[in-house]
Amino acid sequence: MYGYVAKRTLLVLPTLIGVSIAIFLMVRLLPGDVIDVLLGADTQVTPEVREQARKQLGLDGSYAEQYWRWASGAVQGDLGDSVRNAEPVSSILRDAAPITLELVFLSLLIAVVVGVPLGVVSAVRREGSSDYLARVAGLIGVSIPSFWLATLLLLFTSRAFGWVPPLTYVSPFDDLGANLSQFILPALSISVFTMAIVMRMVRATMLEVLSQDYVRTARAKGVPRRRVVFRHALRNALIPVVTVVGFEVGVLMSGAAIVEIIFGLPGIGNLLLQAIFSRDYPLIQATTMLIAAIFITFNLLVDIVYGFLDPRIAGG
Amino acid sequence: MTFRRRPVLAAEGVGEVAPTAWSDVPRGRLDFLGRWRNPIGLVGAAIVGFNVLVALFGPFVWRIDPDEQAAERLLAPSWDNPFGTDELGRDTLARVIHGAQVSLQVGAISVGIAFAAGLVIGLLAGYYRGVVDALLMRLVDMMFALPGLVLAIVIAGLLGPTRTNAMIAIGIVITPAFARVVRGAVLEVMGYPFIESGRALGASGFRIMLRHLLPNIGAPLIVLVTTYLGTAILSEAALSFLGLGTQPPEASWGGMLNTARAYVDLYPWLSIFPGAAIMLVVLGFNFLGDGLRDILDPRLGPQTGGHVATQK
Amino acid sequence: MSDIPSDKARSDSPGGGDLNRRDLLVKAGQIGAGAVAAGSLAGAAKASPARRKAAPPRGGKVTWALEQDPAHIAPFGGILTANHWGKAPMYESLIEWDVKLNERPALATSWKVVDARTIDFTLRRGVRFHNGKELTAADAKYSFDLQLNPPAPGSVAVLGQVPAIAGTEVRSKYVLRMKLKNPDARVFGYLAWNRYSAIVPEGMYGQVNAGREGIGTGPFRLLEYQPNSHLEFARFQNYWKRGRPYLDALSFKVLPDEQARVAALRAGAIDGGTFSADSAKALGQNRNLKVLRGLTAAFRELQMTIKPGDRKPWHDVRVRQAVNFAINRQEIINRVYSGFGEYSGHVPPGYGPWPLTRSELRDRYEKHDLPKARALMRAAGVANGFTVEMTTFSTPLDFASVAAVIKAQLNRININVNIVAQEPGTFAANNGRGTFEWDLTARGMRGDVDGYLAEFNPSSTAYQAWYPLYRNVRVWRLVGNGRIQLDQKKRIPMYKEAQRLLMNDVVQVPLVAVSKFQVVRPRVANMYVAFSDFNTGLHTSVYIKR
Repeated sequence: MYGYVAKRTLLVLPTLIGVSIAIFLMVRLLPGDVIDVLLGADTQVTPEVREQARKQLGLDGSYAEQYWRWASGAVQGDLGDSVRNAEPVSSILRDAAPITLELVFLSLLIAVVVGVPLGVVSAVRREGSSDYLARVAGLIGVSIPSFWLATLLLLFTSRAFGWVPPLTYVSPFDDLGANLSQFILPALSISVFTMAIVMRMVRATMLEVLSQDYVRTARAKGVPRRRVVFRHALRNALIPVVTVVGFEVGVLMSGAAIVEIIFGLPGIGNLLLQAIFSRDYPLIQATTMLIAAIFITFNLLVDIVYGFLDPRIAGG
Repeated sequence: MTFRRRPVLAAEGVGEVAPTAWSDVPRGRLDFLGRWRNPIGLVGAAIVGFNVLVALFGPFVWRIDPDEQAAERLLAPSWDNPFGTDELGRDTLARVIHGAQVSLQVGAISVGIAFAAGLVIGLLAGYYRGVVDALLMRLVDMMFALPGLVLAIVIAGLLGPTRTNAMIAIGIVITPAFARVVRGAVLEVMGYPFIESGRALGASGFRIMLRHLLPNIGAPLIVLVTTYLGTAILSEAALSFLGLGTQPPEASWGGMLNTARAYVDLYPWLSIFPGAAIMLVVLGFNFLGDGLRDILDPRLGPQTGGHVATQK
Repeated sequence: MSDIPSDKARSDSPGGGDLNRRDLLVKAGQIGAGAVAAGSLAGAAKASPARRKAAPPRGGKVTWALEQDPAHIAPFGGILTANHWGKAPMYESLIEWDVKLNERPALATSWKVVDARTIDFTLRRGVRFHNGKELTAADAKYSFDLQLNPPAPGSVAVLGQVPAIAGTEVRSKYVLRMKLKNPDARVFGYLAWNRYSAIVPEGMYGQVNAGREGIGTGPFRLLEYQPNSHLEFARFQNYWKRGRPYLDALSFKVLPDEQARVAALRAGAIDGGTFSADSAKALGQNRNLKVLRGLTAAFRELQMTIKPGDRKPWHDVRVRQAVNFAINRQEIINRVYSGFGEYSGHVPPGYGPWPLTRSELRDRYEKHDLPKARALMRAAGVANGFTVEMTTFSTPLDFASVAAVIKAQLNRININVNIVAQEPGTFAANNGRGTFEWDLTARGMRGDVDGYLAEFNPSSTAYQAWYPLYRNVRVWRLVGNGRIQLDQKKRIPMYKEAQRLLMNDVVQVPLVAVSKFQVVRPRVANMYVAFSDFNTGLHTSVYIKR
């Protein structure tokens, strides 16, 4: 067991390093560098001035040199400066990360709080048509594009209630109400996918559990159905849900990237996109690494939890 | 992440699709029609078929040029323009039809890339095992370092935002799923006793493995392809929406949704039609995949859509 | 479709000025022997009758929306226009432009051209920086040193816009001597533009974080800059222009999303901002909002490369002329810009006395003439046409629309244009390197007219990248001499002739200049759409209507 954990943990570091090298190289594959983007297609600079500007931004030297400069800084916590405004990348990320994390957390919350009861209900009422209904609902849920849903929600709230979410980001510590009213629509948009998966998951495991012998025995003994459901079945059925949740964080992070654009939230996803369009190499590298680190860590934790729950896995 | 077996009912968010329990898949029993036990799969097939027809024949039936700015801008839906016109006076219906072509093309090619790459990787890793396997699996692991769509964004963004690069990006992102299934199947087959004896007799172990592999892998691969076609189309829409895929002025559903954002309060139909198209197509593929899974092994029970970390 | 109420009073008419340059200098009593009227964008001296108005009321705060975050507000090396939006209220230069882009003294009261490479600037006395320090030549020298080598967060890439200044020296407490590497007429426009030529107190970069804070001489001093969020300015009590600014405070909110800006204006959260034509039209329906429209220097242009290698049909000047006459610019203006726009030559309309006149362009050099175009194609032997690839920006969206209109128009002379839209960064890279056949791009503001014709100087990077095979010695001479001719009166005919020659050679095909729309709440008085694409009115002339 511990060998399993150790092996998985040890793999994290080489993976991160590999990812950092891959990103570093790919970023420099981009056509056009930051000077091109900033100048636009309107003005020209002489090659000497361009070289000078690149040097000013630390873009001179061979790839190996540049990578070494970046990596050695990174392990000390210095992720370089954004080439657009010379701000330290680490502080930019520090400001952006909580926003995305809050969004992902809220979405997960909604998905679980709505998905689990739905799954339970649909498992418990097992008549033929509701079987189809549940499946169809689940399939629809995973088919809706989050960015479309977000637009529809915005349209709906503005038409039906005359309400639009606040325009500028407010920290939850400053004004929780305004913050939540800004996050509710984006969180809802990306939660639907996960909600559908959770619902199907819960339904599936509940069905499995409910058909087991000890449940039938309890029913036969006259234990009220509801107690059976909540005491025995649900507890067992929830275990795989926990692991699903872990995996879904990745999906939610991806979804967050898109809805941040729509709702103007300055989170990591928004940051990554802006960085790509402005060829802001240090920011692209750092943001990608951050997302990778978060995601890998989450997966690792989930794998470990899974290993505990199902020792068969750890052996294989 | 290694190829370990997960319990059959475990719902995966990360691209693992039935049949996860490899040994549960019935071999060679693909009598389709008798096994359509629910209409969901049929509905899905109908939707997908309709979409393909629209993509192939749409421009011949509805002859307006999607790029031509012939009409007045921002007209509401009418007989002349059933989906209205957009901000430059182009017919939205024609653009939605063109978007269908774009989506199917991107979907097919990226799944094709993933299929081919996954097949090669899976075959090599499973057959040769050892160092080759370890290396290839590390490579696949690295692709799991980022959530699917984020990886697609990074790849498409860094290769340069074009439709071709979006196809490559999506293809790369879904390759691991194919690779794993193939590898799992190969490993299974490799465990059969007669493989050893076949090799002892001098016959090419590889060919023997293939002969035993192919009939067994057909069904799951079909399900995989169907499911990921929906996924790929959704990803293409997302990338275009972000400006990283098909570039304007070419019509693509995601791109149309993006430009429609600015006009959503006064001209909502510009958002409604392309978005509905995306949802319908993805739904069709998901329904179809669900139905196919049903045929292959009803015992597997209700799976999740298997829809995938990549797509949102 | 022109139902946008337009306030044309201030900004549409190009050229012209209330006071002639010489009048100002005479009034200041500063003309010395050998002094040449500094580069001026003044038109004909039309002295309009002085209007006696009551001074505008003081006080109040205006909140303005910026559509892009400034990223930094360092005084030097700011590549983005947004940098300047953020810093303009607090920094000034030796010279400034008035509304009509006429130059007038600012921090320098006069200047004397000592010889072709030396200019002495006499600084205004009694000017205070925001930190109370008095402006002296030492501060100016410090500022120019940094202009010539902008430190981070600025970029040295702006040096392409800086004239050939060798250095400066302090002659006395209030006199700064500027030495030029060669005679360069661009100096005065460069200073008046103020984009790269701020004057800051000596040692400022050591005292404050220049990307986030600033000390200048301008009408407002910076209280706070929160990136991606807002900037706050307060009135500078000791501003050297007595009685100005009228406002007590100026606030900028960064709202890149157009919908957010529209909603904010409707809700009264902001007093004004820049909008697309469609949004401006929708907002204009509201009787409580005022729509302002003005021309900017951003004209669209079709570029063709003329490079060694395969010989292309457009290497023949007749084909290029055919393209020029086949394009119907009015149709572009009507279809893509709702009728709001102007024909543009190589120097955009509105840029002082320098551009060719409207009628010259419409009736002669850019006249839509399909039969003539066809005849030219026949004469060049390509009556059957050819295929060419034209790249353009994928966003903003109007570029692709203009491309589509041009494609349809050139179809009539059998030229088949394949439009390839590229994401802006990719496009910029290809454009800079000249890796395209044709492309559709845009130009922007320049400090001096030379900026528009510099790419026809064979030694420039652009020339080498785009059309090394093009030769026209007369153009070269005119452009080269125009740069070193300090007498504006003599420069004007040179640049006009150069433009006419270039309109005949059409290595580049200038198309149309577009309008910019800003919408304000009625309490905001005296705002106008500045040709320079800055929000100049906010810190120079705006007041709150009671």
